[in-house]
Amino acid sequence: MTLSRKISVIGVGMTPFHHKMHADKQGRELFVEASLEAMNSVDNGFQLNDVESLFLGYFSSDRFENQAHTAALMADWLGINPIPAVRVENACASSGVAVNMGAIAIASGMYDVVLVGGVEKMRTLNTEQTTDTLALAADAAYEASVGFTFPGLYAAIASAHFKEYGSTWEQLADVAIKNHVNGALNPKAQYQSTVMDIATNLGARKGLSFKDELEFLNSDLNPIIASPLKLFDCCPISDGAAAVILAADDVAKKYTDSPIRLRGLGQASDTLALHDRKTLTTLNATKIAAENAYKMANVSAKDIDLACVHDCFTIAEVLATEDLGFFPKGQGGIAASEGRTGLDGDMPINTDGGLKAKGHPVGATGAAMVVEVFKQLRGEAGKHQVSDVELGLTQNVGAAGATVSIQVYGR
Amino acid sequence: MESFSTVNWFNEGINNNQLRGTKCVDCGYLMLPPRPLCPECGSTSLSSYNFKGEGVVKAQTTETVPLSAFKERCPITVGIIELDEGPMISGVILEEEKVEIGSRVKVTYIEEGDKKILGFKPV
Repeated sequence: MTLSRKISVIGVGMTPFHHKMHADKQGRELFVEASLEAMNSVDNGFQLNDVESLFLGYFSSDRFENQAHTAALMADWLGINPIPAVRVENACASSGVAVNMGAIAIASGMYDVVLVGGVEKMRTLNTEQTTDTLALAADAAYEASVGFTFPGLYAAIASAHFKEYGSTWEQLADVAIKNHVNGALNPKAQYQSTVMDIATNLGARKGLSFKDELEFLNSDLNPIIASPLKLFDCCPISDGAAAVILAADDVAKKYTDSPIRLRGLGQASDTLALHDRKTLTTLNATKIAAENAYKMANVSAKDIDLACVHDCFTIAEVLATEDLGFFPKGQGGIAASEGRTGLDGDMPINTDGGLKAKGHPVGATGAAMVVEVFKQLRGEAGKHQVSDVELGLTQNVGAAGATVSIQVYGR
Repeated sequence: MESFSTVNWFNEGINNNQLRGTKCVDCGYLMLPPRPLCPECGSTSLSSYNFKGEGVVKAQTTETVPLSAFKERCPITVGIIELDEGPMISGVILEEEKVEIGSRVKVTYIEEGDKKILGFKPV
């Protein structure tokens, strides 16, 4: 598979991801904020009226905001009517898929410039209602019906991975610790503090002190959510939006001298129900989407310098780094514990803090990964900049891997 | 579409203490839950098939933050069971203190208001 036109990212923007600061805003305002930042990021200037089509990821505006038909709403609020606007709903992979759809729309020759992105305004509901809403992405008839939540499904995967490969909860803790180190360097992250900072602050309030991260993560301040996963194995609930401007290469050069080329993309589906898979410890859709993206980009896993992967739970990052081919199957946890996925490791993962520390407004997450890779490739990532990045990858997962979208970016 | 290939037919089975699936007449593939077409060969020639309900736990977790419908049962243990006939299925796990990955379990039908839900307990 190839794209019949070359496509570049010419601008990106995102709101901070947060659980409190957007309390007074609705999804529409968050998406406008992200889109304006994307517009202003274009080197040689850009008008929103240059956009010819919008692909918007929004998982559950229906439940969170009592609002459907959100793509047309966003186009309206951006003042870019009457261009066509399409909402993409693929659970937590909604905006990763929207990026792919936007690219395919440009490749078709229909448009030259497309706005893609996503938003989720989640903090309108309490934790229980949010747990119910996220579980809509699982199989309602056969998983949610017996009580499986999303933390539960990923915990089940973790239990099987521990059994099959001997991986451990301590390895998962190392994923969380690393992502908080990165998040602490990202001004857009929900949690800009290391696990040790949190341990010290929370401990001080409770009259406790902890000698290291692991002692804190083993304490009652890190309760079980779904065994073996504890609170710090789970990404938070967040509000936020992200926007990406895609352009055909022949048009892109008008807007910037430093476009980021979309080198390859892939998308794959798997059974909605985890129990219908041949294996519980590999996301087959990740493998297939990656294979297609690598082939299109004419690269292999070892050529990728940095990746933003879908760590909705710590075990998900371990699976991703294995299924993308960065580490042998079963060794993702070991690699995390050895520091190989840190900012100065040989395969930096989730340099922006990942879903764990940056936050996870589900519909915005795939586009926010593109924001990070774009900045890394242009050397604009600030305190979490990694040196010598030639190729970056994004992996956005819907539910427990029933949808996976992947892109490979280079200069 | 055959009446025995639906979610309703599966649920009716659970309410009547039966674990109902489908079998592909063309390739023999067993499906649990039942499906309207065979994911292995694409055939729509299917027959009903009742599973015995015994198998092995392949994955499990105890949830402390439940779905609202399961608040009364919290903490709740759920798992994925590989049945002796081949397919895997999700269910509530009872007597979870006696169950670990690899444990043999058998089906049990748990009263939940005016219906039943699928569960498993140690053999």
